[in-house]
Amino acid sequence: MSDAAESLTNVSELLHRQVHPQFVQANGLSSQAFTPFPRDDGKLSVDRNSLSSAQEAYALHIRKVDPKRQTNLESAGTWSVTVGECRDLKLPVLADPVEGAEPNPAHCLIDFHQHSHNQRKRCGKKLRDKAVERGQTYNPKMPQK
Amino acid sequence: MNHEDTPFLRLVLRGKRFEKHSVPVDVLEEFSRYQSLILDVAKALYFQRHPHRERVPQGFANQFKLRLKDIEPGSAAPVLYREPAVSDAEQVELVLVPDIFEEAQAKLADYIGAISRGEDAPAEFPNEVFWRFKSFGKTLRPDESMEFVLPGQKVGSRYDIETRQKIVRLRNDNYEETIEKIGNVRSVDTRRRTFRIETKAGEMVEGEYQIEYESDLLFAHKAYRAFAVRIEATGLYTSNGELKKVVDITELSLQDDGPDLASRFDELAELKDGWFDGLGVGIETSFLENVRGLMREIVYEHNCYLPRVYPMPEGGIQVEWQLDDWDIEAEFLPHRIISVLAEHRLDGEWEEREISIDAENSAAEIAKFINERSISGENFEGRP
Repeated sequence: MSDAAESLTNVSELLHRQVHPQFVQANGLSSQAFTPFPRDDGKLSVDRNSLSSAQEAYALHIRKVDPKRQTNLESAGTWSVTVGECRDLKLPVLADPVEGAEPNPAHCLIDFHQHSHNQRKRCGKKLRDKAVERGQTYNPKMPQK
Repeated sequence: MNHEDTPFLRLVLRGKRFEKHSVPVDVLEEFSRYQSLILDVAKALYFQRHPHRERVPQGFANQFKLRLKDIEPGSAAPVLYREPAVSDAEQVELVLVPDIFEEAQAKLADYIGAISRGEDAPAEFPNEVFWRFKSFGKTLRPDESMEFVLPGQKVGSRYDIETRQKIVRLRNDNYEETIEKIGNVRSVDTRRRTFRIETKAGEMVEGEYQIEYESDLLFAHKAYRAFAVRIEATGLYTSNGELKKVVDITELSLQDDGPDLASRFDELAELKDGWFDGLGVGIETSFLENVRGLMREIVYEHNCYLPRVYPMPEGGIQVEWQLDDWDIEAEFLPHRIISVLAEHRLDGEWEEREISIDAENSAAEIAKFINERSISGENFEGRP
């Protein structure tokens, strides 16, 4: 991500997050799905809806290959929050288009960097609640209309 | 006289459930209610004509018995026949053609027809029978109707939920309807045998249950938000169309997507290194068994709600409870520390506690932390 990364301003724009199947249980979603892991340097990867639909975001994700196991990445589907919901939690959203062999111009980062470990967890829970309240935006098991 | 060969009523049932020329058994009770309704209208007519009489003639009810003999196409059109009248009837008017039961049938059809067309109710329709509409038609669903086609007619009066509600509201009465609700069990009172469920839409439904459904209700209550129940029952509505309570459950099933502690830990035990995009660490066996034992104690000995359980990429286990007012997460970390974080949903108040996994009372301490935040003015009389 460059220092001059574009900050997203359209508060109603959806940001799509891919959720690993292990973070979905009994119709519930772990807060981990919306909290950056230590490897993520305080930033959560999402795809912006203006450049990628929830379904396209899913399709792109599962095409990627896990370098260790040489298998495709897994996702239980797409859940989404808005730029405004992130801003309400003082989480800036920055454009972070990916170039190269697997380009993803829709890629963005929700930046938890300014928050402590516990604050990150609390923000992750709140984003999870918003996403669950909204409902899954793409479910690969459901036929699309 | 013989009524056997003359159909009394062709009841045309329309709606998805009646396609393929068949009638679900749930709906058969409406035929019995129809018979009772005609009988009551006939009694009322009798008393209108014989104001000096205190009782109907002996054997009055025996003069009117219906049988279901055929189901004709259309979506389904059961045909009800009358059994032959008993020959020693005390009153001739009971067996004249048309007899008092056929008159009652015509009056009922006229009344329902007028109401369904939005016309004024015929004044002569007897007040005494209105209470029958509280249950007559309660098995009908919103897309369904019944049409009363009398002998010699091609079309008849139409009766559906809307018409029934109009009738009930005219009388300012409660009424019953067969309902289906899916929701999470919020409370169970085993003394009063009552329960409350919250539907996904946020509707709170109260009801009474029969003893055979108690164990499933208590189990679903323990699983709280993670495990829904589906209930088919009679709903008691106010005349304004508000669901007052559920009575007489006919079916209760647990939705099969609830958490199961034992099988979830079995799943976690199967995770190998690299499970999370190539980076997740498999959970070390003795640590996992330790956490499994603690959770079993927390849930089954200290009566905490069933949580959802997730692996952590670093090899830990995260356990999450979403309670009424509180979100609680317990991180069981491989370096044998349990970090419990609770946050109030509304006011944002939060508390954190760290407990050693090896502490003697770690399960009891976590359970206490959770149970203190599980009760929020609910009636937990039957809390398992």
